Amino acid sequence: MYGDLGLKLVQHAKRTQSLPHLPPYQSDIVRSVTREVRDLDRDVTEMLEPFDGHFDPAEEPATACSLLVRHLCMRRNKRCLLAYHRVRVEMIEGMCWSGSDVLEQVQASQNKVAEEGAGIGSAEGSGVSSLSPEEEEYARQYGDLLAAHKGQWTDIDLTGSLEPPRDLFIDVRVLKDAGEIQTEYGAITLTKNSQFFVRQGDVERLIAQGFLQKLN
Amino acid sequence: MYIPRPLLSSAYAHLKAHAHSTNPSILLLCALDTDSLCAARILTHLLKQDYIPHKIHPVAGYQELENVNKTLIKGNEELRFVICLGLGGLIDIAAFLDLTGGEGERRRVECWLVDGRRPWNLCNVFGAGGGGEEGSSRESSPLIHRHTLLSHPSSRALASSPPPAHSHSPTSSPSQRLPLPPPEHPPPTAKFLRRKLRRLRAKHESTITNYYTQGTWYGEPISGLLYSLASDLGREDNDLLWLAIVGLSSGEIIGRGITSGPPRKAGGLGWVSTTREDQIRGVLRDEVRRLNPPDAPTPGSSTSLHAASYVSSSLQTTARSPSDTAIRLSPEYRFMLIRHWSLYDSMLHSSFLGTKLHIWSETGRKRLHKLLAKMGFSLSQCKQSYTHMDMDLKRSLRERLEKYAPLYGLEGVVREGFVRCWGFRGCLSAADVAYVIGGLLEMGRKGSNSANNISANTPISSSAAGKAPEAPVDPDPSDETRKEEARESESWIANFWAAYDALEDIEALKSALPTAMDLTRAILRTGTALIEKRQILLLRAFRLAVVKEGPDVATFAHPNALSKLALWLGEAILEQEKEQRKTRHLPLVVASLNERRGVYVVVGTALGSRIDEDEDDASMERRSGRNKFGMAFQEVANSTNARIRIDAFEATVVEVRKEDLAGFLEGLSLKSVVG
Repeated sequence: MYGDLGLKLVQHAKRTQSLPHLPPYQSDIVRSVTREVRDLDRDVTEMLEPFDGHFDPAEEPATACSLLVRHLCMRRNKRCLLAYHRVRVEMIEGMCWSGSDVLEQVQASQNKVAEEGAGIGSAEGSGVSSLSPEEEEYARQYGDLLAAHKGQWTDIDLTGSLEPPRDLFIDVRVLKDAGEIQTEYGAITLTKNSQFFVRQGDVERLIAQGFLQKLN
Repeated sequence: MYIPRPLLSSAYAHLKAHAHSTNPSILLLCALDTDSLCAARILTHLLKQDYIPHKIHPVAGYQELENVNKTLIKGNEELRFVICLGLGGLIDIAAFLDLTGGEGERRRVECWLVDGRRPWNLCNVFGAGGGGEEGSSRESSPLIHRHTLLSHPSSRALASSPPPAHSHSPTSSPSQRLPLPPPEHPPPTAKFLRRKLRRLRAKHESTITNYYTQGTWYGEPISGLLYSLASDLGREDNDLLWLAIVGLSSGEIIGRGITSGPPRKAGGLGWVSTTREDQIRGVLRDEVRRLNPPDAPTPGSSTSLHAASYVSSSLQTTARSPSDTAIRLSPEYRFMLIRHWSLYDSMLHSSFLGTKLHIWSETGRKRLHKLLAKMGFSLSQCKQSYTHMDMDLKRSLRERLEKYAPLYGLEGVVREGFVRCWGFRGCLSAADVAYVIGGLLEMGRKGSNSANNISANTPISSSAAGKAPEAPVDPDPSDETRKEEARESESWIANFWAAYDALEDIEALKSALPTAMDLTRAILRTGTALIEKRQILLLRAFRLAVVKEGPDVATFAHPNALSKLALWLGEAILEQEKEQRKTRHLPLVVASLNERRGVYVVVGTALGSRIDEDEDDASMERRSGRNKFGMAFQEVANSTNARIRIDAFEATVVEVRKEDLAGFLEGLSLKSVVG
């Protein structure tokens, strides 16, 4: 049926909204939907060909109806595509603002996939990225734009959290090895599976990047 | 050097003054047991109040300690203090850790050992290094006294005959307890003096050898020690007190009866009722009373009176108000998790009752049913969740139990315990919390663990099947086993954090209750199977039980879980032998197969000697409860070529390669120390 794939795409978008990370780009479905639109368009052109530009809907209501249906299908598919991409774009922008590295996450998910699918199929595991090439490009450029925007006011961290910190020091647990980091007052070695009681300001970026987990 | 208890607070002040105020310069190394966990919670609480940045790192064994030394301590210029909680007391820590700090600097890293295990490695206590040790002064003062004599042979104290070994020397002056200078030997002035010196030296050396060779035992729980630090600082509160109580209770569960202290006859309660422990309990009880004053009864109101009588007659299972987080004293049954289980299950799985009634056999179960019948409790009622039992039954439970318990040798089934409520969210006794935290440490949170198992199982089983033929001929620990070791300690550390979080989170505690129940079910199941199938072998010098099949083998890969099983078995055997009127009881060795790594985890418990109450010989009794397996294991490791790994901080736990178990046991049976 026309529009089935578009619905699937919208469902993906809906699911994406509640996920913490960005799921892989559904290039197959997107391609099929655009193909569907193209097919519909070809149908319409074929149907209008014999009239040679002088089509009167009142004379041929049957053709008019089928034209209308095809047109509506095309519009619906377009809206589905737009909705899907808008959700993803918003998520990418959100990631840029929150400071987590979009491209870093791509790598992490790749590793995960590679680990899980090591025995099954390495071809599948290696090339999968959750962003399409266009999206990657978008993320990069948006990041540049954001950096330029922030560059004007160096003394304010525009991407920082809006919530004022409650404590000067917080408990954080290290989720993955981050090596030695330099802070204002010296170096901290972050090793996996340990817990720190440190100044919040020192580790805020690492929390955002997913190296550390903040405990209540 | 050794820090006696009264100086703990000044030691803390020293820590506060020298710690870096913005960078974590304190490293807390924490062993994976409940007591250390509670201690870590208390200490971090104090540090947080002072805004001292610190770092907590759980450590599973000596190997990991070495890794920590390499990665976190060596050459770390920021580090000022290393505090070891529940580990390191048995080794010379200054030789183990690289405490010299940055290169070229004279500043040393200070290392504090807070360990309930005994014997202390005396190098830590008296060494000239930067190590410090916290402990209760009562126990070690005679030792310090002794070592003082060793270090300063010319002192006048030599003339007086030394006090009997390890008795308390009330006369030891404060100066002797204070930090000692490094040992040095003044040149002897005359020949006879030298001879006298040599003789005395030999004498004192033998004292020290004796100290080391008496086995391993436990001192006071370290959470209690840190609580007393908090109270010295005037910062004790209900939360910290609760942690200290949980730490104490966990020691009872895992069989760490505090066995040193003034020699005194233990009461009729058997395992853990030495006076020393009662003293600590008493102190904690007073603290509970002090911090949780009872509500003043409003005169004339009958409801409060009714409430009071209600509380005294049945177990408290709900809080009195939504904001009620007080700790209360209450008469606790020695049944585990009774508030959250059914009475029947709770009785069935309690090690106190189970071993006394011989629950592993059919007759034992019948005996339990009969006891319940005598008490007038129908089985259908007992199998309901305790909270849903008939009010009348609940109210009369204690009275009837106390009436009929002596018929079954169950004296002391009710004793004073601690219970705490978290508003209306739940009510747990200290022992229950200790069970739950222990369960979390050993089995992990339910969901994560099973998922972990599944994901870990599939590749391993396939690779193991492929590797099976060549595995036995390969003498070195292959990559596979090393990976497996890493995976295991990884999961243990994940468990540590789960338990760490649960300790202050009632919801997590409640959700972990089934884990604790599973663990006790596994212990009962396996213990029953071992006894019923007569799989406990009687060897010349000890008894041996090997767990290598059944549904619970994986559970007992964790040494602490295995220790609990050993304790249960030990009590069961003891009860059996008591009935047969045997006076000499052989110690028990329990081994459990860890299939994934191809090793046996071996735990030794000295069950028999605890019952030496009848003998009047004070020294014999003082030694009761001391576990000599630590040394025996070491000696066997040195004398045979069995491939053995002593990694756990517990001296009585070793790992033996699957194929070498027979040789190891053979070597062990030749050791007279065991007997």
